[in-house]
Amino acid sequence: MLSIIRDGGACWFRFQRAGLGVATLFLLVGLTESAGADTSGDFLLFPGLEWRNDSNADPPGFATDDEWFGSLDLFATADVGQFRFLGEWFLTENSQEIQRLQFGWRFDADDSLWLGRFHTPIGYWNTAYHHGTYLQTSVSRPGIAEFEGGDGPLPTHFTGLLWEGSASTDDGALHYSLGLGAGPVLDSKLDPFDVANPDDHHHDHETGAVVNVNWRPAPHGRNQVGAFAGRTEISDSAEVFGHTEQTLYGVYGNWHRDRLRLLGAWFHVSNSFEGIGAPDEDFSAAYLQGEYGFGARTTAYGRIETTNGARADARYLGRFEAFITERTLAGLRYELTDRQALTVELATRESFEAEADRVTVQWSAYFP
Amino acid sequence: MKRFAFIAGLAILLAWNGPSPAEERAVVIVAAQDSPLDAITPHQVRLSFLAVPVRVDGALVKPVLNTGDPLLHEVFLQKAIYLSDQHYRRQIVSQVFRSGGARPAEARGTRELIELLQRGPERIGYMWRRDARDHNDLKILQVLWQGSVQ
Repeated sequence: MLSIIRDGGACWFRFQRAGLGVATLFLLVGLTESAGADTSGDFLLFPGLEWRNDSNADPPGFATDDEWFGSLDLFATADVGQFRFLGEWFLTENSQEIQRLQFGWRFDADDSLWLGRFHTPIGYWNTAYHHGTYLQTSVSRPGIAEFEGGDGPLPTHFTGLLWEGSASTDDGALHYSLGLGAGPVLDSKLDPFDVANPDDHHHDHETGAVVNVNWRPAPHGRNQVGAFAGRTEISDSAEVFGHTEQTLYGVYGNWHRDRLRLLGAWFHVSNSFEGIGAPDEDFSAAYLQGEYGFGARTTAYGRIETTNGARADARYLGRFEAFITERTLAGLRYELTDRQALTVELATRESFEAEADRVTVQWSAYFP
Repeated sequence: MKRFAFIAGLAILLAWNGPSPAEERAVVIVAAQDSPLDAITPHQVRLSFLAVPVRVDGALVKPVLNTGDPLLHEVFLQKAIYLSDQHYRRQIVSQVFRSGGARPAEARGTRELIELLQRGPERIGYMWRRDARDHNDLKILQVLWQGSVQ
């Protein structure tokens, strides 16, 4: 946070504005807690601290050497009657961002319509975990589910409308999400609409839509299989291709049985470039993660990730030089307390720019 | 003297012979006597404790965990929620983080639970049936489970 202040006046101004927003958010939650019967609210902190080190890097210049990374995710919700609010603010040493800022209306117990910035309902990982580091068993995210501001090639935030709901039957429940809104622009990385600074790129953010449907044998249970599809127009601020229409679809599943858990997804992505008459570029990506719990506190896990058709010279995907194209990893997570975990992860990873083996040690938690 | 020693030995053997007999107990869902809730299904109980909004008789149900008695809490989670405490807490945090809402409030004993229930007529909690019967200011909405515990 100190480095933000040192970066200069404009950044400090943005920091202050975001801070004001978060203060308002906390006030809202406080009011909610002391209000009447039809109100509820919650507040969560997700701190995380990671140490990373690469070895056997090829080329050697791309190795991450003895790097520390700290983060803090602040999350608050408030429901007042049918009115709903959800806010999330993510901080690291070098950046801060309002991740979610949603105002909603609950139509009934199962259906809500939200307005604001939200996580796009792409696949499973993006909405289930996002910056709630403690919630995911592994330290790393699959490359295809990586954040926009990181090396992710897919839009992980929209600013617009989100409809979420479910319909129960005797055999289970169908959960659905439909998101419509302004997507990211492609700068050096994908840059989503910044609600704390809406003047940035406001002419460039084009629209997108994503739908996600999953089936759960127990309503609101953990086990589920689902499918998703979406289309987003993404403009290129560097004018390499001007504009792309990105179409994606895929399937996913999350299954627990006793101590075993399997989690996987398959994505197909197609980018078309109408403006320059270039051929479409397609690629697909998949991951499968297995977890096994030993006793109450220890979980061993492994994940394989792979891609097909991912090329470093592709007009769109080639811009994400650190995008993980292949990865195999294994890890061990130990629950230090009911709210804190220590995880060690070993991975061999391959991106467009380099290959390396990486060891990561992470402490993650949530409070209160 | 021999007879006394025999009787004393027998008494010790009887006292030490095997575990204590299983006790019949029941876990019930309770609310304050002035609550608008009159009944709630096990399915509605499960959803509300999973931080999913549930309306019963027009009231938005607010669940309260009762963690003061570890055995009661464990039986409740196993029989009503089908999760261990660790998995349960992670799941409700995940649910709130993903979709909003709030985690259940938590009482660290029967007295605290009753205070919370009396402050909010839409609140529900769980306790042993024998304890619930001792409190005229509570009403039983549902018998969630009954069986023997050791």
